[in-house]
Amino acid sequence: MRRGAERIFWGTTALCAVGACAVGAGILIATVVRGADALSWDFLVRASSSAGAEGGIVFQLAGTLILIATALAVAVPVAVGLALAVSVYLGERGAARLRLALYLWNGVPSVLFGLFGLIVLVRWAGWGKSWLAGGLVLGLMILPTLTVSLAERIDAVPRRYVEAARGLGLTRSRVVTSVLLPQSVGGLVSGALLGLARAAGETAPILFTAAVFSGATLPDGVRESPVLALPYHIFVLAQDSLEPGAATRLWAAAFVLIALVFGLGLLSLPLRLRVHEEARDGGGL
Amino acid sequence: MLEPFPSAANRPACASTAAGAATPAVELRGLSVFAGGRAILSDVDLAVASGEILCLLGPSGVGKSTLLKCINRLIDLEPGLDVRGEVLIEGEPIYRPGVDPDLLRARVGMLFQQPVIFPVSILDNVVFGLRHGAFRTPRRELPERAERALREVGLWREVQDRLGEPASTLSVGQQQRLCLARTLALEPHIILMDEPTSALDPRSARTIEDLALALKGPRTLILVTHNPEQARRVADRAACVAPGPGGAGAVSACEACDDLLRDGRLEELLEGVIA
Repeated sequence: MRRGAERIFWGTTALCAVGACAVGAGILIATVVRGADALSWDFLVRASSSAGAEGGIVFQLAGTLILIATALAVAVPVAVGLALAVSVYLGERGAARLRLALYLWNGVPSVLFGLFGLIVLVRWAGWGKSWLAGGLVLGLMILPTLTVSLAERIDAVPRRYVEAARGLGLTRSRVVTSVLLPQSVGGLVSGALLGLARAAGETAPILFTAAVFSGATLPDGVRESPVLALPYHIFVLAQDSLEPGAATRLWAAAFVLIALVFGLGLLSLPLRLRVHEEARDGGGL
Repeated sequence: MLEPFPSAANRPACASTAAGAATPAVELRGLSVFAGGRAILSDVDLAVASGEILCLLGPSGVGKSTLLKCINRLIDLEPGLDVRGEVLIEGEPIYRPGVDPDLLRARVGMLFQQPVIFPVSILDNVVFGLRHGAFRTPRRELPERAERALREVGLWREVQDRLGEPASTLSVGQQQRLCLARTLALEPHIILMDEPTSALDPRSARTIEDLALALKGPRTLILVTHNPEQARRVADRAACVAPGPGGAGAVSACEACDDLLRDGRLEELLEGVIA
């Protein structure tokens, strides 16, 4: 009886796992098969032409990298501050409220962030479509993910470390910089990855704020300096183009986007390990 | 929060050191700790002479650790606790406005039950308090201070070739000595030890006991233990912390260690108050 239940449980778990992997693999395979004809080194280093039916995606790729780098540059420092507020500085009630706000924030549909950027940055501040507006909006969007991920790591630092450090005469802010943050930096990296994967793929937030389909290369300045971006490129090709060359390029671009997110994940793996090692070895004397 | 303490005439014998001449290193006067109206420690009077080892004996959960944490104000970290009475370190009251608790904690060292090793190298662990703590120590002094502290706990020979390695590679006994070195690097006059051997094997435990004996004299040690044998081996005097009326811990006797541990007197004391 008990073993039977055990088996059913195990079987269900395995089925779910296999199912999830199969869906993922299916999408990946479909993407590769349909885009294979367009995928080449040239595709990565050449600009697109003929409304995406010819050429490559170099500026879309560059635009996406600019957007996510800006988003991270904005979100990381703010997330550190918010996570410390939640985990260290605010009292129990304040922290619970801020946490709730962060969860609600995380649930806000991404198009609302896009509209916010349109109204405040593009129109009111008069930036026009700009990589900075898009990066800021994406940064706002991924902020709760980073914050919660870091705050959870800070909360997980055993209390005995804090006690031992305070017992050596460290002030509270010194405990934050010398004990809590070095031990929870992995949480920040994990959160950044999760956020970044989302930021790289979202179309809605950059639709009104940063992305154009053609006519942009690398931005120079802030005002009226839009960028091309991979998700928006895919979106437009999927919607509008009947050209067979465009369809192949659409799938190839989708594959590059997947590979980009996956590659950043892989890249950050040794970074996460190294960060740990650094924390362990300190700076030496 | 300061209450008037009882006059010298009617204070129990625990409140004075043997000769009563010099200023005690640590003196508790009517120390009570409340958690939301319930007393954890009640009206503790205790004086620890400069240079001695005093053991606090008693059943677990009676408030021995709380008592210890009052002496370096680590108790401030616990939310919702109310400390009343006075604690004097070398004659200076420490629960008064104007006392910097971070400086106090750098002066009064503490060793915990479990060795707490920071995830950095052996060397960085030893100088952790010097580098990040309340006293700013010049960088160039750090290696020398670290070596002195490691020699004092007998760890120098074992680790001198691997100072850059993670401290987590040390055995638990070595880690506890490393923690002691980390405290000693701050050159405290008073060291509090909260059951420092309870996580250690007997041999490492004896090493810590021997170190305690070697450290006393220039330094005053207060050692919490539930092991009367350990008290017999290291302590000059021992105090019995036992639950008083209402369950709050109180010091029921404080005398020469041999007297307290003779002929089941400790057991009597403990049973007496429980009954």
